Amino acid sequence: MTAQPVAAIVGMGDAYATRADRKDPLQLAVEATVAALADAGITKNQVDALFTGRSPWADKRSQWNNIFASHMQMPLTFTSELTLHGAGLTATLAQASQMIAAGKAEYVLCLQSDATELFVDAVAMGAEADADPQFEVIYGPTIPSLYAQAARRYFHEFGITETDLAEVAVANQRWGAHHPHAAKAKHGEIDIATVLDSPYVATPLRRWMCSTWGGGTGGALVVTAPDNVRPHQKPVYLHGYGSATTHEYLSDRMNMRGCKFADFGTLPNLTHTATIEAARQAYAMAELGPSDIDMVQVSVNFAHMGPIVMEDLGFAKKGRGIDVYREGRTGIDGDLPTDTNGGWLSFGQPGISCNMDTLIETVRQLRGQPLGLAPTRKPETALVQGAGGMLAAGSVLVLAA
Amino acid sequence: MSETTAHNDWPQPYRLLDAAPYWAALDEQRLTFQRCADCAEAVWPAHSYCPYCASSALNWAESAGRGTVYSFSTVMRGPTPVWASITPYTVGFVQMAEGYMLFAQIEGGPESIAIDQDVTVRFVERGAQTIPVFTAANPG
Ligand SMILES: [Zn+2]
Repeated sequence: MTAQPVAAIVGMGDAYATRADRKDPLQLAVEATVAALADAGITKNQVDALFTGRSPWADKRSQWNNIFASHMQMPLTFTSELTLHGAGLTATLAQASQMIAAGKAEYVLCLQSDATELFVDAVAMGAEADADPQFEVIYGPTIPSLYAQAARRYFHEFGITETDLAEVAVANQRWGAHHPHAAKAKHGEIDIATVLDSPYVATPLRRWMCSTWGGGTGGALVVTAPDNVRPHQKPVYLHGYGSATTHEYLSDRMNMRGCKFADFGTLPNLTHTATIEAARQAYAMAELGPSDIDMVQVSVNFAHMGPIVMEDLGFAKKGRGIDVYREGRTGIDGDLPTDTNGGWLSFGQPGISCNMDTLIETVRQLRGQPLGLAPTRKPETALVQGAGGMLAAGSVLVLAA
Repeated sequence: MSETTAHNDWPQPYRLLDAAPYWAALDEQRLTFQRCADCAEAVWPAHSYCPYCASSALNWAESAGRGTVYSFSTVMRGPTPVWASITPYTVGFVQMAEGYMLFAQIEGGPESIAIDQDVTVRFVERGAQTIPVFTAANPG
């Protein structure tokens, strides 16, 4: 028994680019938006508000939301970049539904695109954007080495091993191998030895345990009120949302002495994330719990974040999230198909504010229109988790067909 | 994004005013941190007001430079040429004896570093700035 939906997605558009078929973020965003508006059966003049996540890395102009709207010649009553780090893009649906509920908008466009791999040397600039420029950048950390701080503690506290983490990469690649736009599809399915034979990027994380930059993607969703849905629109309903953030830089997190989020655990810790609080809010709003969820799309940029996020979402006890992968629950026949496009580990991470790829995958699966594999049991409810920063922010949506 | 300035290719700290005494003390090879006179907590990174009790009574104190490894990762792929030239190198959090967590380089490879291991500070010059790095404490 779910609560009444708070919003409906009535239009969806996606766009893809590769090295051989280069498109920049503006082109990807326009292509996705044109498709989403056509899918919703509305024109750009009916859009009242626009929300994006952070500026794309491949086009780092500030106020990118304004730049896009002006490029489209699409005046709006409100627009903003939402930057709970990468979790902000997931939270755009929450902001859209609040504007709609307040009577301030009839249609809201939620949009993101990026094509980091095609335009940017992300390795060279990576940690400078997400590490403390005063106290951390002077030591040359990379984003994998910052996330690896959590992996090392997770191993230490819960007895997890590299072989365990290999299970996550294998499970995600099983989906990604069959998705036409997954960056690692060309490698086919892999086994644990493949992962453990790959070189370290930053210990204890090996190459197959790290996400790759995957071409470029754009995604656009048209959001409106549940009672504004017309029959042909194949709506996907938003039942609950939540978000939380705890810090910007890891040094700030490590020096926190308390946290108002009840389930965050004792501090210091690197094994609980703000997703715990985001999930609590979303489940409460939807009047659903983990056992009601048929499908999950999560932000797993490094393999240890799979089990950690599964725990934070309530699918496993702390330290046992790996069982969700090991027992095959995330697979095509599982009770919790997860990252059905391969996730960031296999589909790839097109940029820094890139959760629109998982939102699009969710809508496609709930509509029964996947580009890759469909779970054996067609999902009716889905949970989308977005994360951002160095373990900084989490955002959760509960969606239903 | 704020730009850090580089000096002989080493990135230099993006200096904020709260931390000016920290960088000045490092030039004398002294490692310092703040302590709140009201709640007695060690405060790090540098602040104007205590993040725990909002007091402005923050005093600079000298650290003995000893702590234990909380977590660490050895970078195999350096982000820029200057970092690539010293790979592999290890970065991590040191739980300082005075009660704060300091991010730094920890000297040694993954086989020679362990969580909870004792480490002690030493100072290196990187470009125009002296910075603290940590090395395994001498057991004797
Ligand atoms: Zn205080």
